[in-house]
Amino acid sequence: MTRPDPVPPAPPPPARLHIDAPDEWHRLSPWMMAVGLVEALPSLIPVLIAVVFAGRSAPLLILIATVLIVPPAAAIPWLTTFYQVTDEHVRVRSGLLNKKVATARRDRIRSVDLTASLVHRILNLQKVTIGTGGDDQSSQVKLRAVTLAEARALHDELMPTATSGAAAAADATDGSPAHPVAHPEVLTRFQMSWLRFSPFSVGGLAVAAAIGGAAAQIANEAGLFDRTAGVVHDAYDTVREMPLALVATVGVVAVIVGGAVLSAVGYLLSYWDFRLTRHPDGTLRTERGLLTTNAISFDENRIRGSDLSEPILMRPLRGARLHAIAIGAHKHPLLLPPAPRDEAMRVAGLVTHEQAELTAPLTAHGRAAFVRRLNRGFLSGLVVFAAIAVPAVAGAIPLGWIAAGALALAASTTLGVVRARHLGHRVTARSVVIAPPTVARRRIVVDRDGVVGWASRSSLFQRRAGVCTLIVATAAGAEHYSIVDVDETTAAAIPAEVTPEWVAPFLAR
Amino acid sequence: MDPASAPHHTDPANAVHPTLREPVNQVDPRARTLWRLPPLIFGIPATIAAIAVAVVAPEARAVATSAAVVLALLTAFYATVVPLWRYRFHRWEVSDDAVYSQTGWFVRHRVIIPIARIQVVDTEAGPLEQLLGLAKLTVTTASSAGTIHIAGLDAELARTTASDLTIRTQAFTDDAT
Repeated sequence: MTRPDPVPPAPPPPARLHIDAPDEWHRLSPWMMAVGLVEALPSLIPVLIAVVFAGRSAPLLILIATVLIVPPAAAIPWLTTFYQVTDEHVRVRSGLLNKKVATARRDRIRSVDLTASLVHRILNLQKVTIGTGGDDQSSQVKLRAVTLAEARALHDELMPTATSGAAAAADATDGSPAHPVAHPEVLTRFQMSWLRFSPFSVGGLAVAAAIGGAAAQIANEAGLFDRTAGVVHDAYDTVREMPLALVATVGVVAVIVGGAVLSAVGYLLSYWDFRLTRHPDGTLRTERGLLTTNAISFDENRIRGSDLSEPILMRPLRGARLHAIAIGAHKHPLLLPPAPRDEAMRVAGLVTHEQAELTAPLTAHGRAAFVRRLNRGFLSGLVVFAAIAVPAVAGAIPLGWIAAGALALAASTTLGVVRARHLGHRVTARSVVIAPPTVARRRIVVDRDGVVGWASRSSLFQRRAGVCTLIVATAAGAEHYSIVDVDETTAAAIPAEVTPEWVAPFLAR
Repeated sequence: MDPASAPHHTDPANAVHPTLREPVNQVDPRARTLWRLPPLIFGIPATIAAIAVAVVAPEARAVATSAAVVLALLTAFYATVVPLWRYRFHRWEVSDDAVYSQTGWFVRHRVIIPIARIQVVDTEAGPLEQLLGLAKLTVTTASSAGTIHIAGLDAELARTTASDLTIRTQAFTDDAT
């Protein structure tokens, strides 16, 4: 095998990446077959159930069919997938009948991300996702299973300005993703104390409520509640005899506790060993994950702002989560998982240099905006209230439910006020700061450099109230950030201040 | 431009500061016809179908008759009021440095994008537009929010505007993000 020099100016690296000739192709790791099978399992569960049921009547036939189908299904993707890394590009060709070639030009590569599911980690493999500048899936080249050493070599060699990875060998023994570039500066790192923020996520509550609901549903479907004998029936009877308020309270407490536990587990799975590092070549890198590890790198020069989120339940603990707003393969790179707000500020200071913007007082949006939020909260609460009150009055459900309806109405109106109070904006010397009307307190900072256009939307109702929604168009992050319900004067003043050179001609004299 | 010296956005009551004016140019008057045709093309057959059902199926007469009335009213609304409303709102302008458009009817939508950030300019004409000699001009940037669609332009005007914008965009060589 010939081994031409790797790309200049990198010195011959210790992580040896083989540079292929144009007609030289490799297969991925054979273990990809195992990975593929395990990854396909969740989607195969219905098929498996069908097979088991069918197998009762014709076990031999099913056995033969399984033996005939499974090995080719696992082997064909591996047999038909080839990749090569030449001086010019990284290419993956795959498919048996429907052939596909994905190409990433090496000078266009912006990110090399390594992820490893538990299966990958057991087999000492990594999944490598190579992103070029574009935003969509088509601009990515994926190698589903390569060895750890190969993955690190790919990362070291392919990152746009990567230096050689002397540190790569250092942690080659553990299962964590590559940590390849020499002397990275650690900007922040996971601490166990951050776990205290995990229970305060609405996501965990929603999952717990969903699981509770689904379990009740399944139990019901399975006839568990209808059985004439047994503990379950007794328990169900006991529940039925208890007052509604007690049942509701117990249910709510169970959901909260279950949600907290699930959230904590989810937090550990996602953010265990979270590290944000800056490398000498100007890329930032995050690594995280307990079972499935995930390492992404992105170019610091492509960051166009920051996005700080303080969910309402985390507010009393002063917790926050920080994302960057960037262009390229990762548009919302996570800079900090739920953690102390002060830590978020410190990280923001190190990366986006925008603590001032994230803490500055904002301009409120005035009476019309407030009334519109209040109306929405009240009206959506009213819909719930009516949906409960009408059947209650008609006698379909107990009258006591009206209290729940009234509670929903009050809560919805209160949330409307919360959202109205969060709404705001500010224009600073380098950025536009946007606080959207969300229940969580959020600060979105978009750099003036990142603004590629302005849009405004105003419905008939907004026009009657004399307000409109000004939208910052940017290539980074969500690509549009709305300043909701500002009056027409402000909607003209903000663009005129941020980008006077091309907005001024359109101002009314 | 020192932002510290221009705190006007903090004071909405300050009437000295102007609002955005509408773009100068209206679209071609033939655009009204363009907007009338689709509701007519879909609305009239649907109304006739509903009437036919009402005639042949006595058991569904009440439902079909009310559907026919609703369809007829919607068709009339979308074929008469909406096109005029749209025509009043649809405006566009190309200045030295930017493209500015206003579209919509119930929701008014305005977009300003600087020529320096334009990535793609193209024109497009569907069958109805070709029939009327119209075209749609689309100007895109790296942001999905910064996309301008100007429908109902005279086809020739759309082409010259597009080629003019394309030439002016070429003066800017960075990646427009």
